[in-house]
Amino acid sequence: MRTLIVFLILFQGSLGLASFDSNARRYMSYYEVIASLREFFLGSTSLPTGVISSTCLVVDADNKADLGYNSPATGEPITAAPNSNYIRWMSTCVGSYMSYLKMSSIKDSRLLSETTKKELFKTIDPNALLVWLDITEYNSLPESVKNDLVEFTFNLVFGPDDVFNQFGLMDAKLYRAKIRNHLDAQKYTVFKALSVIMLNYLNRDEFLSY
Amino acid sequence: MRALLIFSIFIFAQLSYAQTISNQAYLGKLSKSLRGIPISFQERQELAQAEITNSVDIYIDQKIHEYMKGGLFQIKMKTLVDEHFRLRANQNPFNVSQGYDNSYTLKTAYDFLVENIIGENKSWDNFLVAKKYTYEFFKNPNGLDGDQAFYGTLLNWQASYDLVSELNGGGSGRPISETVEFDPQDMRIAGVITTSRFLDRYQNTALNKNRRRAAAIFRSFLCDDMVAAIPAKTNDSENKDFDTLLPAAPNAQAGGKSEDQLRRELRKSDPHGTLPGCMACHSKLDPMGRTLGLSPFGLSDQLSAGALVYKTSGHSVNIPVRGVGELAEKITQQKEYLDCQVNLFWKWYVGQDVPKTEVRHNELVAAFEKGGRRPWDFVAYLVQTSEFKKPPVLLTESQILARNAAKILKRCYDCHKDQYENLEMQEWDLTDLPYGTTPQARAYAINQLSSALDIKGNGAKKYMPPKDSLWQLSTDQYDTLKKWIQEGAPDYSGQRQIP
Repeated sequence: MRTLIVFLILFQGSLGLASFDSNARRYMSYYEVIASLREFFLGSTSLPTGVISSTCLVVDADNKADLGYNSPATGEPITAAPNSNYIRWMSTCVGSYMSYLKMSSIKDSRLLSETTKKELFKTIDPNALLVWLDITEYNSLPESVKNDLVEFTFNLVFGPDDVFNQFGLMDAKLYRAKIRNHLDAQKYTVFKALSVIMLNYLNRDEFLSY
Repeated sequence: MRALLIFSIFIFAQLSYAQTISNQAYLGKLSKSLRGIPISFQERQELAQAEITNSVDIYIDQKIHEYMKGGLFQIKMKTLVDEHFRLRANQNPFNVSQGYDNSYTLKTAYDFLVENIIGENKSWDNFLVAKKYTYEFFKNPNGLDGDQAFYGTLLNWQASYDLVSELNGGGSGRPISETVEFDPQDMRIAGVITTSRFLDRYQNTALNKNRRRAAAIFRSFLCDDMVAAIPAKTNDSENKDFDTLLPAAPNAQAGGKSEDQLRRELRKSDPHGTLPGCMACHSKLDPMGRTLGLSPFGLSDQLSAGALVYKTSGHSVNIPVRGVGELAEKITQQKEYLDCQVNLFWKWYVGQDVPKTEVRHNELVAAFEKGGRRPWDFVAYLVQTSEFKKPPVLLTESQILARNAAKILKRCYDCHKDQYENLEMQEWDLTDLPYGTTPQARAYAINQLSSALDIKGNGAKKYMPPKDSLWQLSTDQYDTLKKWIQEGAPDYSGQRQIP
């Protein structure tokens, strides 16, 4: 029995690595990830001038090595795969876009489902939502709203569970449960919780690679 | 019994996983592959609706065409092409104003040509055979500017020049764009090769004799990647005077060396290109380089003859050509060109890790031809293949290690495959894993490799690559090969070659 259990665990399959280079599983290139973030947070709205950090919009000397820019000398990406600087860059950009969303009308926010908005607007003035999200503790929210925040944004970023699962890296339900456990254990405001959720999701291979 | 049932379900799940991805995953992959961004929430909902009404195929087909007509597809493909030619790709592809920098970057003939082929779905051959260029320049009262100056020497030759249109422009600070079209039979013109961006990228000197450009053409269009190596017997090859490298004037009376003088001196003192070991590459590079012989820095209005020479399985190709235009045309007629371009699209849209048999490859070539060698047609074909719809193969560490080792060994094989001596090395494809058919043969091969490169000693006692070769293994590459051998020199499926 024990052997069978060990065999089942081993049969889970190994973590396959992706790279910036064109192969069966690859990371989005520098311009793809820039375009994806922009498309995700802003959709078809035009880019607000001077609000989003320029490092999130163009490739320059500071970020090109880390974003997988191809070196003309070798014809290959400068780095093979995202590294810690990439995570730092992503954090800066997610923060920049989230700050913009905070400034704009959050009641139109793409990150909140209609269900959540309907629930919240029962007791909150929609015009005061912005302030409310920033001062209210995430843990004070009803369970249904907490679940919805995690699941709705998951669906926005990755799509249905089978799309996430087809990468074979982690089970979607298990992943969401881990996110929920982490959020429940912290003293985040609702807005901070949303930012943490987005940062986690947008750094996953399931978003960055295909 | 219960354990057996669970085990069976598990096996079934794994096998099912390996078959094909869901419609949502497929559309998501299409969106990222074709235009580089994930699908929107609205598209997910539309697809879900299409699943209910059984119209998924129609919806997906519509999306493929919508994505390819969009600007993002064209930006992505242009970047892939720039990277393929090893040109600096656009660092601001969405033209975002950065506030502090209002300077305008002129679009060159290369940029317009690539955008035209991709944007209007022209035959891929136009990268080699196009004779029409559009370019931008600022009006310069002192003379010609930018690409206008680049094509200036040819523009005076009325027999083959036709100014198609001079577009509006030229207002204060704004560039003018101009289009020129050369005669379809003009042998001096050859698509991207005869653009300033390509020739500037691959700079030339009298010593280099356009070999760098020829190597770029071989790599980009025939997938023949040659490595520069100069195993000079003496130090004389390093002592080249400035006049030899960059001749001041084309004739002796002006005080500079004539072309004939230079060639005589270089043949005497410079073994580069004449030694048997060098001939593997130079027998191919030099005849091709001669087609650009009169265009060392700018484009010459004179034809320069040369040849397309290379070896292929079973025979040699040796086609004399009157100029670079004819060279380009002959390249498009070669099987190796078709194989190379099909493999390029495969790498871009399906993945070079995805294996294909020779039969499958031939099917792809047939599809490329059937679509008139047009990019949209072939891309649309590729993204609807079963290979594209499979979940990506998750490689093991051993499989990745094998691929990294093969990447290094490919540099060796690129030189050896065309050599004139030591036929045993010529026939041994170092990237064809596993080596040999028996464990003894494999062990012998690995041992030979290890000793030639002195992998254990980080190359201290190596005899390959030659000490004077410009390509030497880095410390990282030695580490990779060491690890590969320590792990039993696994092949692409991860199986050890040596116990």
